[in-house]
Amino acid sequence: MNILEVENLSVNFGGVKAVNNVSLTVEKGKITSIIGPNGAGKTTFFNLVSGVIPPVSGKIIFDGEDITKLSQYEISHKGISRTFQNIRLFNQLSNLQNVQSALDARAHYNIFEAFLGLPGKRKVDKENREKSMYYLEIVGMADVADGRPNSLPYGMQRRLELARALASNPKLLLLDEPAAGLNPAEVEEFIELIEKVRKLFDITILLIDHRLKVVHTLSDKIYVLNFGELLAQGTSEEIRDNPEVIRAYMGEEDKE
Amino acid sequence: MYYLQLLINGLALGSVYSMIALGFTLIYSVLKFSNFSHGGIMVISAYVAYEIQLRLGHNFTWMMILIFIFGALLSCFVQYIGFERLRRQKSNIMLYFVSSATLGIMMQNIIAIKYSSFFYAYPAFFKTSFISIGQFTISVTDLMMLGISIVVIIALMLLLYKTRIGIAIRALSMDTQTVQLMGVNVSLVIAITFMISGSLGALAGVFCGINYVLTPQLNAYVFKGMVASILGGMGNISGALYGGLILGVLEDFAIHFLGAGYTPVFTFLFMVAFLIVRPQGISGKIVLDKV
Amino acid sequence: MSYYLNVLTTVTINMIAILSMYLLIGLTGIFSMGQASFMCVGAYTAGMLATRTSLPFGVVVIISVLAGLVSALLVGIPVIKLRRDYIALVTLGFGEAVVALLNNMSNITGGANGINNIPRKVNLWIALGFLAVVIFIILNFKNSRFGRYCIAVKNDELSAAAMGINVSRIKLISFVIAGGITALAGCLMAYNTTYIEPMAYGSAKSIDWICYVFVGGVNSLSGTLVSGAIFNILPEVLRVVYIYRILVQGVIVLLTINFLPQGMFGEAEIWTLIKDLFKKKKKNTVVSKER
Repeated sequence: MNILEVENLSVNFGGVKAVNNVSLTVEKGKITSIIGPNGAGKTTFFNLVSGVIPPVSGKIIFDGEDITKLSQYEISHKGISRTFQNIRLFNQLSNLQNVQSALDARAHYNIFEAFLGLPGKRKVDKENREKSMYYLEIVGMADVADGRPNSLPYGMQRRLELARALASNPKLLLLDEPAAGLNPAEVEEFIELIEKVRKLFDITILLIDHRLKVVHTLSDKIYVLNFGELLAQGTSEEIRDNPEVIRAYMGEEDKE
Repeated sequence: MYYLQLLINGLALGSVYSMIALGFTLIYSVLKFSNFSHGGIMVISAYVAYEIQLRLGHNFTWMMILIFIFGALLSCFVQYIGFERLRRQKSNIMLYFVSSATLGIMMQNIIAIKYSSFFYAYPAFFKTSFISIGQFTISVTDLMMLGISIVVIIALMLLLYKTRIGIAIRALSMDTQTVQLMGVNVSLVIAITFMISGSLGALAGVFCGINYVLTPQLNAYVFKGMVASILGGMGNISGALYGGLILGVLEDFAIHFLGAGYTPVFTFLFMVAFLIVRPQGISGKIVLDKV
Repeated sequence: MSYYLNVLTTVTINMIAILSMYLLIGLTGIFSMGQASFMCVGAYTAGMLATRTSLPFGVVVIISVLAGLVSALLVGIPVIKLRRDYIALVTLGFGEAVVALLNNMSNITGGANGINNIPRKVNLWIALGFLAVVIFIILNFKNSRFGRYCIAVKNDELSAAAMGINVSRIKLISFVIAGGITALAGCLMAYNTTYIEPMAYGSAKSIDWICYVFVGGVNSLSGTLVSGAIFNILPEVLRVVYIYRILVQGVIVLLTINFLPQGMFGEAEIWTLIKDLFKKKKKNTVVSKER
């Protein structure tokens, strides 16, 4: 069953076709990846799916529902969560509160209950704090719950973003270059973390990376994007041996 | 054709607004924040120009030349104490805002402390007050302001599009990081941008002082320039020009039909309506942040 | 003695308005340059009702707050989705429009002379009572999901939206609540000083309030209170520097922004800082005992 179906999605930035007629499907429960050289339009694609920018044409169907015209926060409530290529954590909230923000957005007390500090509101907040701790434990960061994101090392900031995205209990998780800037050992750890998360929450993952190596252990299916267009799709073996993909990454071979 | 007369007056008014808007929008295009200290430069320059012409035998030309230079220097100084350190520390944009607003009030306050006890006014610089062209009259000061504004604006356009420093300024308004990598001395370009903005503000301040009243509240006129910038599209240089002229004409008609008292109400409602319909301004484009 | 009592009462009432600025610019990052005009709305609603009707004090307070909420809603709806600079300029325009309106509708509002002979219903204790209520409400707001929304939106709108926060709605909620609280301050001021006039509520006051929030400390409610208190009480006590109040304040703000950008208390509240201080002392005594 396909949890995400994208049909002929396109967007232009002043004459440049950043994403041009891209169609893809994401199967529920699996890990799908989008790879491609830098500037291929991968992040733009994520931005289209998560509602940051509106497409010029095309359709995005999530869990059977057309979400093309929805705004970012509406899409989040439909069950799609994401991380960002450049880490975007809330630096003036504690690490715990960063994770809690996703739960806050789904909490039910109203503003008058907040003003008065009623017990109902305090109970909800307490429960959400405990839930946030749970997500921090999953990514192995429970001991720094009260610290601030900007005092965390880079690798832990990435994990915090993951915890925050998970806290919204999404059906589909979009990870934009989640291992960018990590050294090889950290990349291994991250891959294991993603596997663990997928099993634990039975969640569908769509991930972006520009390194085929990173992606081929994890992915059940890979899409290759280049210059905003879909170049190839298939399993990691099929992609690895695809001459067009190789050419896109390496350029033409020199003729000696 | 009384309305044509209104139009002429409106354009003269608008040329001053354009001048304010240009100084304001130049800073916005390069540093991406609204410089609320611009009004302070205007009011200090207006009073300094008054002092200058008092000591130089009411000489209009020398006053203009000297205040042009003074505005540049004052603005450079303001940039140094207000924004230089913030820039080096890569501070949050909000701090620029607070810094500029604070400097703005401080400058206004300095003038208020020194000058509020007596009434000051510029003398009549020209022998004839009005010139008649057919059915229409235009005051000589209006004509002077229009003329000087045109010259200054043309000079600014030439600077921005035909000189290397102009190219550097325009490049900086598009992408700070790349400009730095190209070996451009960003601090210098910013200092020069502020100096140009300061000169424009000084001239505008003197015009306001001549045409309206010389009071410490003169800094409030910067708001007209801000509205004009919005109309033209924030950060857009030619937009500031058109926005100023359009605002001048609109306000002149508003004063005629609604009275000077209610004009701020009209300006506010017009601004809101305009922003709903066309937030990017007449010629501007909306720039999205890179995600 | 009664002079200082008056000063304290005025400061207390101003604190209520300053706290709304804390909510707006401190927590949510919305730069409202015309916030003082909501104080005007509250003051004039109260003034007109108090002098022309026989409605009791409590009812007038409620109506004034409602006036503040509604006018903030009307201004906020078209404006809240705009960029930060635009909001600053539009609220500034609103401030000017309100002052112009009040100055010109003299048959209703008394024009530039304002309204006199408002019965005096507010003394220091009543003011303190209201301040305590406002502190209670805002502190609870900060420690609720709404307060966290505000900070998240201020830090990063994009990822806040990605986590499911309705960015426009929380900004509007913030703006409307701030409008209501500022109007409350205006109403109390009217019943305290017994006369009101349009000129007292210009952009300079709004900028003062912004300064108190930034000097006090990012996200720190107690910081805003303490810095607001210092900046308002000290000039009254040290009467000799009163004329230079704005300049001294400005210098302090500039120094804070450049050298202590986190503000006086940083992001902490004064009670957390005191708690930490005691914890440290305890740790030191434990260590020395172990030796």
